[in-house]
Amino acid sequence: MLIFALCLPCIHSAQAQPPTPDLESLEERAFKQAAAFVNPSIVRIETVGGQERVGKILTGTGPTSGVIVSRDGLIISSAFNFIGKPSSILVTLPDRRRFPAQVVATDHLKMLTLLKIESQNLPVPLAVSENELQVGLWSIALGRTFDLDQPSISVGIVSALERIWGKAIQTDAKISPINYGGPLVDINGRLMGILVPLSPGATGETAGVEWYDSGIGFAIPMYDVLNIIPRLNTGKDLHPGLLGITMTGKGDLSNNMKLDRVRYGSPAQAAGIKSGDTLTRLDGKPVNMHSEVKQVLMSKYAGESVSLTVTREGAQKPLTFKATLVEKLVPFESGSLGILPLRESKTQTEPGVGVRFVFSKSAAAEAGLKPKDRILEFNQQKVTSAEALALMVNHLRPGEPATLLISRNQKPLTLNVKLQSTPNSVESSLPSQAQPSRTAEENKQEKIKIGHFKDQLPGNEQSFWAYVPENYDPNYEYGLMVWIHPPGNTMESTISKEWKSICEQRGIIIVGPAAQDVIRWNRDEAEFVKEVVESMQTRYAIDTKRIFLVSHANGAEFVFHLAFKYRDLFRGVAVSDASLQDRPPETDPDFPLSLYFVLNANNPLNQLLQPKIEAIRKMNYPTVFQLLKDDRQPGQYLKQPNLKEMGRWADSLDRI
Amino acid sequence: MIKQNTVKFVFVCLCLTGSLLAVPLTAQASSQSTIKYALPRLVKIFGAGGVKNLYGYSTGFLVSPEGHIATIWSPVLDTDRLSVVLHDGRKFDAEVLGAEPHLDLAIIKLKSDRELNLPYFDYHEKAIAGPGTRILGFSNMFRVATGDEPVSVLHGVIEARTNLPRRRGAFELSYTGDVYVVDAITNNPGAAGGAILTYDGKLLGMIGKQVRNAKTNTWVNYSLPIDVLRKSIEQIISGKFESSEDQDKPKRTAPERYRPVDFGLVMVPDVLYRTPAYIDSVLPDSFVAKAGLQPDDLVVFVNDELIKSCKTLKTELGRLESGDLLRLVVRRNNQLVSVEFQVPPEKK
Repeated sequence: MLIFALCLPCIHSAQAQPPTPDLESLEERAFKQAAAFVNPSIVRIETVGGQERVGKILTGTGPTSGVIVSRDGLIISSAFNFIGKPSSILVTLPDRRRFPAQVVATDHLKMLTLLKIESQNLPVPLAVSENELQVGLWSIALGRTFDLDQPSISVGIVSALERIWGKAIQTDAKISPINYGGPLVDINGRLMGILVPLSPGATGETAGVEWYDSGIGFAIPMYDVLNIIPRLNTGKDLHPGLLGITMTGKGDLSNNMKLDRVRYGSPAQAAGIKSGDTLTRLDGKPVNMHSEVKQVLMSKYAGESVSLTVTREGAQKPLTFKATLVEKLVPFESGSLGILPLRESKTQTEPGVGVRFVFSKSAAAEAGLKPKDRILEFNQQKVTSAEALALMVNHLRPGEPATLLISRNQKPLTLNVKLQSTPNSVESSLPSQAQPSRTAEENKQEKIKIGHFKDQLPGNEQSFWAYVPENYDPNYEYGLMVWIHPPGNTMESTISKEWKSICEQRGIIIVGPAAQDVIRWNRDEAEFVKEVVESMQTRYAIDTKRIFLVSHANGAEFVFHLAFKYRDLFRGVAVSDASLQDRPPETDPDFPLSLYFVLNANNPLNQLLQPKIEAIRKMNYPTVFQLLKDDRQPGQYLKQPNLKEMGRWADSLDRI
Repeated sequence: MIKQNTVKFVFVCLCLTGSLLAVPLTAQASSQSTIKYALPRLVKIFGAGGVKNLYGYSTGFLVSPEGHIATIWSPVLDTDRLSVVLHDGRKFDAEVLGAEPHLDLAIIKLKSDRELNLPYFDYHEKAIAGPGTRILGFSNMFRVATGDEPVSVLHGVIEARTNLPRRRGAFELSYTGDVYVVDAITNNPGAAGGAILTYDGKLLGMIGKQVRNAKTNTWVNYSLPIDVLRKSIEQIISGKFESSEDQDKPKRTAPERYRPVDFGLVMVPDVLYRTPAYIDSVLPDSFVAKAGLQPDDLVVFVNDELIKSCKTLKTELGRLESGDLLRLVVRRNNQLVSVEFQVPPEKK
């Protein structure tokens, strides 16, 4: 009985032991064997030269990994390993032989780079077939950054398939620069895929690196890799295919399948898709959610085609179009005629659009158009308003010819013009349009608020100030300057004082919303600014083509946020002593936007701004850039001559 | 009666297997038995810190029944009021017995009037493991365990056992020997001084600090191998310790015994952050001229060290000593060309 009693706890503990030791050690042995099996096909890649930094990422200097994919020296690796654009690449095989390598081509969609070394009879690993891949399988990530004899090993399972819009296997093995470019293998050492950094939101060469070692890692499936290798081997890079549509509604879960915009000159437009169409099928597959659209479109290459089925208002049956995706959507550049339309009273009845001013050396000047001419037809289409004319001209490109029917001294006349680009400069003299003005007394009688005043929106405590010229005449439309004060200083009196005469001369109203906390603008205050502008539009006669944002110094960040957020509202942005942080969206002929920068030459921002100006000009935004050599103190506002030029710029925003 | 005897016999057998399983380090130990075995041997350490980014806690593991604890050498220990909490909540004051800063190792001892007889790890046991070996990591990361809670357990595999001296300057650490790199995220705040064990219960190493691998600019999860720490642990406990710190101080400044021009190499001007090491010209009758190197050759290896830029070339050549064999590998028209010659005596 004594033995019996002593044994009890032992039995207990024996029962508590699960029958796992064998399984655990067998699995561990299998991991090591899988790694050993594929080991001869994993190469070490080293690079010489190249950039120190790519974006915010400091490029690594250590070795990286690649996998042999053909007996005669093709090696696939992660494009991330070459983001520094090294001047020379060296490959070391596990048997320690070394070779110089050439980049054959890069796949910018799946982020793979194909290399070639001059060697024969290399060991090509086995690949897992597509139908064998399953969530939950062991997946072993291997790299060759540490050791030439043995690959580094990280073990996990397959977490998901067809991730990142159908592109990748997801694994919880630890994926990082240690093994980017290396293989993900199954428990038998067969290739599941090639490890790369990827991100569902961002694209670009460093996207997804921030997730390293997080338990969310990605590999491009081997059957996809094998499919693209012959294409890469032709030496041409592969790029993500772009279609050129944007959807209404926000977020991947949105069910609003109406097309918000079809980009001008894009494959979608060329195929015949129109804004307002509702997307129902892609490649024959029904789509009901934005994420489903991404799933189809974001795994396609440029040059591949997609079929789109849409319903269109007025069309009885769904329409199907075929579009061939392109690598780059060309930024659209609107043509320019080079005139300012006459600002006419709301009551005028004469046909066509009057010419107020002809810009020097413009298309209109070359064709002989003169002030006081009236444009009746543009390319045989009747011109009913300045807006209609602008729309027609904006949708043509510089260099395209057009025919104008005008009336000069009551006589019709046909002129042929060749449209030009909008120049990046301001006319040195621009007569203001003389228009009937009223007296302050008259306005007071009609209870129109004029002069400088402070106000609030109904039901909102946040305030704004405004200046309305005393000679304001509600029968004519005015420009609206939206002053966004720099953080810390409303500059209300300076702006009001310096701009007063310009406003009177050129017919501009100023509105200055104040930040809730004067110290900073919160991005969610954009809504408030928009509401202030809209309330001004209901109270005064405002020309929608001449609503523009003005700011100074570090108020610029919020100004550009506003301009790019409400593209249909603002037509111009003018900033002084400031730079541009965000990259602007692509230009759109429906929402022209002019930019104006003025900066002291010795301002340190100068260095930063110059290349940005070049970039936004390349995107075809008409951009004026004035470098000043004046003695202003840092923080001091612009002087009159500069403000007058800004005034002329603002007075030309309705340029056609 | 006969029947009862048989039953007893079976129980005896079971009893034997049972006790075998309770002792780790047998072929039959499993992850679960290892966890049961290890948790009472890990301790939570609370000391100095708590301001700014300095956290005032770390982990340690018992290496003797009398209460010797191996842990990371860190500012946490820099206090008169060091306390240690065992897995069962017993709290002790402790004192630092000795440290080997070169290995980031410290030994502390629990203060107690009574004989303690605590469970401990036998750090003498031989244990070395390679990539793919499953490991369990034990630490009080983020101080999630307090009082009578055992520390946290993570699982993973060894990614590599890698020799750091060959990767000069790779880690921002004074220690430059072998480490285990693991694929579990073991190196968290407070985790340093914890332990990694194989699934079958062998003590492999002490979890290190949070550092970045400068070669990839990523955080690295490493542990100091127990076979590297063994001698120092033993010496500190037995009181015969002499820190190797003084004799073994890593040389901060690289020697500059030779310049490229000493071998007849004129490199392109070093203007970029990483100017590739292209040869601009070769001095006539020089070593490299005789060896057949040519202008526009790109130097890619010096004695198996990758030459990433003109700067690394300078460092590597500077390191050579008279009489060394110098093997230069250059890239010429997509070919690698290798030349060898003996380093001449140093010119004074």
